[in-house]
Amino acid sequence: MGKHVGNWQRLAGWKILLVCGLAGLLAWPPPIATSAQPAPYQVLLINSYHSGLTWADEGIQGVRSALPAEAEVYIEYLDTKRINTREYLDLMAQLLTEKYQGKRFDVVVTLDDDAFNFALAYGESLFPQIPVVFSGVNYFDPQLLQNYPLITGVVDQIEFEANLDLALSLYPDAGAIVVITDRTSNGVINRHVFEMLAASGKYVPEFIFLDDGAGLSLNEMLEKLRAVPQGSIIYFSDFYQDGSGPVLEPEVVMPQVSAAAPGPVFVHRSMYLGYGALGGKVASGVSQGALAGSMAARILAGEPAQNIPVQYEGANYYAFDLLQMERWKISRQNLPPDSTYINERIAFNRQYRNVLLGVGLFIILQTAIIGGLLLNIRTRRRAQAALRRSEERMNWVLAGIRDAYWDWNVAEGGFFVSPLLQDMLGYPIEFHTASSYPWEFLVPPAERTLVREMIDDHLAGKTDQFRYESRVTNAKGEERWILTRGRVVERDSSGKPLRAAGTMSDITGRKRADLAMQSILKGTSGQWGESFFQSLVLELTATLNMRYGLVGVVTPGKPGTISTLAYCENGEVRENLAYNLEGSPSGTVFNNELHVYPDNLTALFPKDVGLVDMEVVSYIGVPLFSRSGKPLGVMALLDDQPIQNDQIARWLVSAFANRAAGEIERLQSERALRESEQRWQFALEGSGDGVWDWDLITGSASFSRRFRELLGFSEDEMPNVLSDWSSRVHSDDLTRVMDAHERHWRGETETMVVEYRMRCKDGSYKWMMARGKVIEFEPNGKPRRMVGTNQDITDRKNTERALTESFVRYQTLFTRMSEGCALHELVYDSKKTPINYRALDVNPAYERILGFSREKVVGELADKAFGVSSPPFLKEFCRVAMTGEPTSLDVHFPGMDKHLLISAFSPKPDQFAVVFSDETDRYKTNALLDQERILLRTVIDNLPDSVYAKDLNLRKTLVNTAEARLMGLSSDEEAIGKDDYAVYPSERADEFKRHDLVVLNNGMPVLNVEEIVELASGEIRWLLTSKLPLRDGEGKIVGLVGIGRDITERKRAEEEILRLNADLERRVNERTAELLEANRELEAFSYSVSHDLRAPLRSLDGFSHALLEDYNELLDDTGKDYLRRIRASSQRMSELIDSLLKLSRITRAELRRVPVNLSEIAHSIAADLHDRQPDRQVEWKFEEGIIVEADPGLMRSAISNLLENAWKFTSKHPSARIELGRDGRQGQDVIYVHDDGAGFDMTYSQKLFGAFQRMHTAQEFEGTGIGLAVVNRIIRRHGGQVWIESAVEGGTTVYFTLA
Amino acid sequence: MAPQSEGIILLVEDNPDDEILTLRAISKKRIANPVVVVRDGREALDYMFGEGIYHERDTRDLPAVILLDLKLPKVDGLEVLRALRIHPLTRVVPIVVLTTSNEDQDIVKSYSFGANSYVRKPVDFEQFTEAVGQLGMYWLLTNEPPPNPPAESPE
Repeated sequence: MGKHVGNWQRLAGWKILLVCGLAGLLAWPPPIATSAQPAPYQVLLINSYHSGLTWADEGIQGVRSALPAEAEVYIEYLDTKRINTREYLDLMAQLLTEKYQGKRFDVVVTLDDDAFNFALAYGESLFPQIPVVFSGVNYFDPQLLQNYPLITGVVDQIEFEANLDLALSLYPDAGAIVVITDRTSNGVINRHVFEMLAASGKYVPEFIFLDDGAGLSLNEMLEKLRAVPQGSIIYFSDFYQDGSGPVLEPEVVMPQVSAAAPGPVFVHRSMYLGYGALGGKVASGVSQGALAGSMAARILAGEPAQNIPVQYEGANYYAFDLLQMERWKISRQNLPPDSTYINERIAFNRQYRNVLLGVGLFIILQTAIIGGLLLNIRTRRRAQAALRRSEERMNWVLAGIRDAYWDWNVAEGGFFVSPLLQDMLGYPIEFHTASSYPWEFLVPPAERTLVREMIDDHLAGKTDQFRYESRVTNAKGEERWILTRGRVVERDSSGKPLRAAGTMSDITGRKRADLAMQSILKGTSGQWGESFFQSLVLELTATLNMRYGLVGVVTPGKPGTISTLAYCENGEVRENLAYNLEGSPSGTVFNNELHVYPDNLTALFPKDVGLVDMEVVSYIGVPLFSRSGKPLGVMALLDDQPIQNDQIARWLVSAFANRAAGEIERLQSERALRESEQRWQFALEGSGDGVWDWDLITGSASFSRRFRELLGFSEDEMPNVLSDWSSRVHSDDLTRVMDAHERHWRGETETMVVEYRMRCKDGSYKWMMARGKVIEFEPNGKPRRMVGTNQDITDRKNTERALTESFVRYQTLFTRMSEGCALHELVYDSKKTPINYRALDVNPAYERILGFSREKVVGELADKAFGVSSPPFLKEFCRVAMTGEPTSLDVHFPGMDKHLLISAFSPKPDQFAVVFSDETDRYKTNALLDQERILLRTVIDNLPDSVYAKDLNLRKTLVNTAEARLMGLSSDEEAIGKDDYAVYPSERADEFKRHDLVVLNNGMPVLNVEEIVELASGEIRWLLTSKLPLRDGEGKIVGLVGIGRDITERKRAEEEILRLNADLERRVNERTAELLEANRELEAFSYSVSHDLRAPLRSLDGFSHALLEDYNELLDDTGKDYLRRIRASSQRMSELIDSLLKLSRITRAELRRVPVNLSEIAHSIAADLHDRQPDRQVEWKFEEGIIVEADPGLMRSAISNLLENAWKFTSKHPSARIELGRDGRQGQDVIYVHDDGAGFDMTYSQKLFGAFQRMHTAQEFEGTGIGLAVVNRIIRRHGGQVWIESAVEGGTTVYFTLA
Repeated sequence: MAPQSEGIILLVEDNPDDEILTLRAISKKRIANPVVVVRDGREALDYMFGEGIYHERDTRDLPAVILLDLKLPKVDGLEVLRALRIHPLTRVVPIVVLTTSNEDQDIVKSYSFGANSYVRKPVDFEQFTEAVGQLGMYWLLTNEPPPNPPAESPE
């Protein structure tokens, strides 16, 4: 972005430099040569409209004329006539901000309202604190000055009332004041002003508003204008834009308004002058601009804007067109004394003006004339004469009548120009003789470089002379074209130019004629036929300001009359008319030469009553000739005003006469050609045939419209070549067609006739019958041209073919059909009662099926033929033959063992035909099928499983008894056609449907799915269902078959098992929880026991001990004994508690099964025991390698208890034997520990495994009685069993197993 | 440095009978060290951390050994043990669990919480006296106690 801005600034800077440099170079007079001259004044000129709009250009011209020469003027056009939206103006302001970033203007000049409003709206950001000078603002509010003190300018004060007063002073008896406004905002405001004036009561005449506010097109406006009453005066307010949009220039609008107006046209803008407006108190863009420019100049000179008052008046002045004054018979005496006038010189010196126009047209006409020379001799003669005349006149002009002379001392710088130039421009000329180019003031600055180059080239001897045209504005604000021509007339010996001389000519007239010519050429270019003539007469009348124009030709068949090809009045095309040449001005022109009757036409041609009706007084006409010099008609212009200047009109009508004649000739020959062709084709195509015309040499062909139509082509769609035709001939027919042609060409046939098919545009074929004949031959006898017609015979061909085909088809059908067919006629008795019938024809199938030969039955009476007593089905067949109603019979003939299906119908009265098919086999088959069906049905119905079939709509098509029962229906018929939704709750039916659709959509069977059926009773049945797709002969799925086995009982058993399992699991869980709880309680209990039960024992023992120690002397022996008993009991109880805890610990301990070697454990325990009482004689007999899966800690504990017991109970014997072994006798792994100790009485063995059970007194064997309880618990925890065998003094064996 | 033999024995014991018997056993074994008795876990912690009724006590004055019963009101012995072993001040004090139970879980937990020794109180007073005597000999004479922490600098 930064870079972008930088570029802009750089570019702007560069531009300023460049412009400054150019200004310095070109400025006239040259700037005062002070060094370090600051940048010249910067002026921004904002124009509301666009370049080319007269008013806009005038304003700019005026402003520039008043600004100092060194001011640098930037012009911006807002173009609001074309676009004027808020968004657009915002963008415009942005654009200008960007464009003039960093530039500071000294003054801003706005032209017209839009630019002024733009400056007010955006000025603060665009050019803050810069004075603004406005021009052309229609309604200025002085209040604005309070907020914008730097504003001043010229108000475009329109002098409505002054003009109305003027008009009414000239025409006190005017019937009406016709007001012309447009649809622009300007026009709306103007109309409003007029309405207020009309309402003021000040004016007697009626106000007629042509525009009702909707916006008129130019033509509508003109039409309305023509309709206003004679004697009206016209006030033409601005008309910039017609209803359809384009911006209209004064030179376009005003001539037409003036022509259409029934009275003089008053205007309030100078730019309409010269184009047909009378005049009025006018505002001029130039004068307003010049006034505003002078105000801007004062600001540039240093005067504060606040000191320059807004100008409300002073820019308007009275101006009138002398030509229009003459037209409306208005003299200067009746107009304000300070009025200015235009067309003065021309009006007073009309002849000169004509000459001038003639010169102007010279070059264009030369072109036209040369074109004409080529056309015919007669025109050339006339053209030569014209050329001669114009040359003479040009010489005359160059003699200096109208041109200003100039004489330039190139060497020394002197310059002289004759005063005629001043007359042309209307203001004094100042020359700066010091300048190298003293005449340059006439050249617009933009063109000066070019002109200087041109002159420099000439001075340097590169050209013979120089000439240039420039556009300047005269004192009245009118635009004038000046042609400057010159050449060096004197050089020194070295060739250096010393003196140059030449002329300056006002060529405005030529320029206008040039424009007129161009306009007509442009308006008629590209036009042909009728529209050309219309354009031509419209353009000519508009350009020459004539009311009527016509181009007419001799009416065919009526040589004395002229019919117009185009006729226009007041710029609009009218209906064509015809008139007699005799007695009319055209009569003098036709077949003669150009005539002009400038006035009094009706007096000259009293016989021509039409002229009176047309209210014409003047006429200009030119004859039209064909190339061969044959008179064709006339072209004429007429007007209700005298022709004051006929020169331009003469040239124009002459110039365009040839073009018109050429066009007429072309039209006539074209029409003649078309007519003869039409006649020819008419005759031939009247029959509806297509016509062709072949050039057999070139291969080209022409086909008539009808021919193309036959093939479905429009006029220009079919190529005119023979090859296209042959390509359309049906390939099967081509040889035949060519053969027919060739035979004709060889002369073998008088006429070529051939039928063939041709392909139409849409590809279909049509049958054609072509007839043709060679009508021209080459000198060598070869055929050259052949013509003929084609007739569409498709319908005939189709009918023929259809007939043939239908005959063949029915014959074929009759003989080949598999049904028997016979045609019979009834046979009547004398009372016309049908009593018999006989066969008229029978077909082969009849013979085959019935076994009667054709010969035997045809023509024979039925009863005889069949050998029966009465004709079969006579009654039925009679009814068919007599009523025409067809019938069908399904009959069995036992005698023939045949079953026939007979259709009978009546092809005509008294006749009947029968068609029958042999259904015998089908019946037999059906019977078999029936049997099979019954068998199958019986099987299905007796199946315990439900069986059914469904169609694609899931309706039952077959149901067995079981299924019907399931559906709650009494019979299977009831179920047919029902779907599951009709029988079951919808959620069940949904489930069935889901399975059904899997089968139908995928074509895959659904096997052994469980479905639940809810019976009407509410009972639930379980079905194990399989469904299979049912396919037709082609494999297409047409439904499904389902088989459902009732598995409700099984299901219930399963459910019961599941329920029981669930219950069991629940109970196990409950038990487990209970067990866990019990375990926790036991744990807590044990803990508590461990801690709390022993503490009191310690107190008992401790304090007993303290008594014994501290109070020993106070106690006798008994007392001491008691205390010792307390202590012994305490210690005994402590041991018991420890034993209990030990036992409970076994229960609580976690069981961890690993392989445990019991033999090794036994050895280590034995070693311990031996160490305790080394002197005991004990024999250890341990079986080695007893390895079990068990908890090693618990097993050690168990083995230890058992061995300790054995050790203990063998202690009374001098020697002992203790064994550990395995015994496999009972089929399981039994481990035992045996000793040969004291043993015990097995009577009490039941108690042995309870805790604290003892077989011996403590005196016999010490112990708490916990050992076997521990063993028992350990073995049980391993899932094993423990038992014991013992005898008093017979030793003890403890057995155990481990699960 | 105070002579280690004069170190305090902190007896944590809620049972008054056991308290008497323990003190009796201590005196019988002629252990002269002063014995401070606290009667629940809370009080034991207050004593050690100078809180509650012991807030004026110099907590740097560590006992030579703590005899800790496990089954205690308010805060039980294992909790006390854990708290003392967490706190930097008391981490190093020798603690002997002296209790009635010989449950495996108590023994395992006590050692894992950092008890220096676990002694089950025998029911037989003579055995009990013997055990206390051995404890005294070992922890008060044989064992080299950790040094007392340095004095806190005044604020």
